[in-house]
Amino acid sequence: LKRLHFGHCVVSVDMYEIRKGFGEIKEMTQAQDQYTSIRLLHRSYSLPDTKTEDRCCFFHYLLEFYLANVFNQCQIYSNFHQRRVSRIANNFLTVKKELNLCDTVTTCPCGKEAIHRYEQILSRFERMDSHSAALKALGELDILLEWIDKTE
Amino acid sequence: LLVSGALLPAPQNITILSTNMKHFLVWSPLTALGEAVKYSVEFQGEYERDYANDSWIPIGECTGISATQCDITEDISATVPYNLRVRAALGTEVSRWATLNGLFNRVTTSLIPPMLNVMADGHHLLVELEHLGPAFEFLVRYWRKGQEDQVYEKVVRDSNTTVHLETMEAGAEYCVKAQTYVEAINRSSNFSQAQCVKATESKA
Amino acid sequence: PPGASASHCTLPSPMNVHFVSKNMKNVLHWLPPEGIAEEKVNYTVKYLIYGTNKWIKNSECRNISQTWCDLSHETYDHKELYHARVKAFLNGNCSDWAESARFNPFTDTKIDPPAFSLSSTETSISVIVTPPKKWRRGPGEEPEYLHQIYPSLQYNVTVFNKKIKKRWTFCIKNNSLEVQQLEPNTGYCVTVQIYITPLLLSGFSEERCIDTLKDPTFKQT
Repeated sequence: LKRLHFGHCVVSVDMYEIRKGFGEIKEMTQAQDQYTSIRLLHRSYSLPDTKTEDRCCFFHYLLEFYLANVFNQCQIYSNFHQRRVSRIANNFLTVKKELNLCDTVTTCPCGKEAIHRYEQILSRFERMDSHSAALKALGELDILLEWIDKTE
Repeated sequence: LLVSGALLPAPQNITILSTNMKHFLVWSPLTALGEAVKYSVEFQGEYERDYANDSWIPIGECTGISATQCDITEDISATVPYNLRVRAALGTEVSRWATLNGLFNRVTTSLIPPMLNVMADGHHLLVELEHLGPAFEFLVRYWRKGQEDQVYEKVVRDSNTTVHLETMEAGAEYCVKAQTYVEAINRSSNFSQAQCVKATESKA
Repeated sequence: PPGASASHCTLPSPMNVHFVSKNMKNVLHWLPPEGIAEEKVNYTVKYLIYGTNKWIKNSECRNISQTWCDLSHETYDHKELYHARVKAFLNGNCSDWAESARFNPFTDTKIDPPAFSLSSTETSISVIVTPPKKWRRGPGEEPEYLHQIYPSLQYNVTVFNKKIKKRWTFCIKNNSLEVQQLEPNTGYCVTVQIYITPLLLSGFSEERCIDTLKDPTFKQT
């Protein structure tokens, strides 16, 4: 597990389950993404480089973004693909539920930087049609996992 | 025998058998209808309930099967409550879905003390541990007999090799016990029985 | 979608375009177009940094006849992701571009088994693992060590006692191990593996052996 410390709140992410699930659908998902000139999770607004006090809120936004806009928007054709997305989604939900147990008002203050970074991602996402955007975001999970891995 | 038009009965006694993070859904067969009955299993995680309109996901390997059990380990892959259901089919007739009584969360799996094999090679204390998969770690405790107040600990990752624990003092007897730990559910098994071995005497 | 193919090319495209990456030395490989004699075909390679729209030529891989192209320089920044593509040329004809899957050096590289040195005394052997490094652009460049890129990096060391035919495993975090209280005048063989996660680990290195020294005080009966 990767443990993220936000103030006195500790959230654990099962990197193995998520990486295993994503590893099995990565090539298939990324191959369907025709828009190689667009990168949603741009390195200029990465989680590890976010100010410490804004990190929790930005992370919370990212979790909710994937839960609400990505996992259930991808038109998935194979049962195998559907089950792997379910594995990832339910693990994301586990993390979000843990984060919700923290006192988010004090632990997760939403400063300008967190909001700005999230809006950057959302604006790129909304410029694409919803299916292509969701597919791209799903294909960028390896970037998000790297961000989580590198977040001290 | 099924009277035509009568609905195929739904499977009964649906239960989960879960040990060491291996989860199986089992149910009673519709024996009266013989071997031709096929069963199909679907699951629904908390995500599907909260974000995906209560959708259900079929388990490919357990769709149209004759067996009355299904390995759901690969799909119960998060520590959230899951719903599970089974239905029967006979030709074109299908039964209604029978849903597991209550939700299943893998946090309730039963963790068994690990099997281990303790050895001494000369002055070296070694242990072989059961291979249980990457979700498992082993907390190994060892001490020198007679010095029970000084217990050493080592966390050993899952592996199927002989792990070197300690270099023992000549002629001393050491005891070892272990428990499994699953970080994903933050639970441990009970400790195994202790096993003791003796280091060789040093050369005169 | 972007990148529609040029209509006048009728040659079949190169196949199986993929990166082969070891410690982030990233080489693009492909197979010749189906049904075409390999030696006559030439290839041109381009690459793109994911998230940009500029396909960049690689000067060393223009009109080449080999079916690989070393893109280690171009893909050195392991925080970026990349796509690469190859076009075939034959007798004035050409093929459509054939594209690789998205390549993420951080997750897609394979880790080479590490090198290590051995020494021994009468009753002990010492193993010193050479900390594995990321591929370097030049000998003068400051090396970047894999344990800096993957902080959770550990080593699995196995020690095989040739006399009693037993193999032990040690898991170490730093790069040195001393095994004491061994039998004098005995052969031990060692292999080492790099372990980062259950999904990212190297193979075991080649086995290397050493004998513990004879015990001078031990009288042969």
